[in-house]
Amino acid sequence: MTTTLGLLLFGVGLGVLGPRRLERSSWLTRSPLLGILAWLTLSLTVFVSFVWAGVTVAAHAMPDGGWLGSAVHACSVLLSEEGVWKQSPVIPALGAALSFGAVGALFGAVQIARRRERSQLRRKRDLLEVVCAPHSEPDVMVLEHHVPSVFCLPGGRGASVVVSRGALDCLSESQLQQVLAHERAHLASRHHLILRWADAFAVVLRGRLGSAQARIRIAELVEMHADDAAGRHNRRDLAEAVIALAGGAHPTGALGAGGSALSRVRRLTAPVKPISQVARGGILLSLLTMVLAPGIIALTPGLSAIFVDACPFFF
Amino acid sequence: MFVEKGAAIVSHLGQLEAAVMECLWAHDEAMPVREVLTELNGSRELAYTTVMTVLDNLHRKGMVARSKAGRAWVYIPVGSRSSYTAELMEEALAGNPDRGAALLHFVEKLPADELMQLRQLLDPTGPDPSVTSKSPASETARQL
Repeated sequence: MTTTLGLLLFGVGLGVLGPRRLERSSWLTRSPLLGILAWLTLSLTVFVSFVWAGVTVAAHAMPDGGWLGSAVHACSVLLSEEGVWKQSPVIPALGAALSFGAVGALFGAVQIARRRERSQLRRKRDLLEVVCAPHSEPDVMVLEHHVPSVFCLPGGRGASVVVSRGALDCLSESQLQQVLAHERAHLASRHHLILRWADAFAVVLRGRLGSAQARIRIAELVEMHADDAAGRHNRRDLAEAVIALAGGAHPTGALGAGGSALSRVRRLTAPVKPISQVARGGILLSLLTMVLAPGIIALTPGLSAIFVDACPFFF
Repeated sequence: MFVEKGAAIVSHLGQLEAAVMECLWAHDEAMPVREVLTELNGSRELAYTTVMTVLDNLHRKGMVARSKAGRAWVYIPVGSRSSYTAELMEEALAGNPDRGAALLHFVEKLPADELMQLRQLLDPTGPDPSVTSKSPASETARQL
């Protein structure tokens, strides 16, 4: 019981304090890939601690009777004279259902997003097939529209970059090359998969405990990662392209979420200090510790204790 | 565009779809397969069944609607060229898109004041001291 409570507290505490810690750290934007990993690991760990909490309930893991455990146990006995907690199969079954349900929901969310994206992309491809003009670059398609816009359609062989006429008109040749390199980096690094998982965590955790924040931050960080991959030699051109393409908006419509563009341009104009190997190793090690922590907490009372407790119950 | 042989056929069919849509858009009325074929065969030699297949594909994709006129199907575009273009641009035009992960846009559209802020970051003569004190872009690139 203490283990279950401990896991729940760990999950909630991490979900509340973790995002604050990450928001304060500068290394996330210095190494966007590490930043993406950190936010994803945070969401994963919060999720995993709840799954472990369910597992410990299912395993009837009350091997130690700390004061917290005794108190809660006393309460549960008081609430039901039968001592539901010890004897009824309802609560362990509920724990197991919650754990399995949570894992199922996560993969379900990914699957649903995958299908939705696939049908969206199919529609876009069908439309592009009939309205797009070819470009001298084989993977680029031109859309005859005056508003400057560039986006990419991920997905295997048909992955391509779409550039509007407005974008071609407002970019210089070298700026265009930078923008194309940026979009190709999105495609090559499969950023849409990263975003899909971030979305799935936000769905399963209902946007709470940093999962919605993680989704926003990861969306920004993949842009920065693509910027780094593209603008290794000519970051100023890329910064100018960001500004050129951020303009020319429709006068109506809710605009905003401009934090990303601002921090991107700031990064592209000022030198970014890379992270030392030692710091990188330290960060990776703490992320690994974090994601393993719930499992360690769950198993601390001893594997045997859990299964000795659980076995007579199940058989 | 494509290297593989199978994909080359797909790409070829894609071009045909574009040509057929072009033809339908150029006419105000619904067209039977025969008419589309005659129109297209001014520039190339196509089989009746090829055009029929292409129109069938377009119908399946929801790009054209069809109805019976006598014994033959007649086809008419569901949307105009500009409406299809607008649909492709809708995330960009909406300003703040309800962005799925499916499309990755280069940058979102920004309001004028934020755009000004960005320009200030780039302008070396601008009033922002944190930018002017920094090294120019070329040096930035070298340090990375």
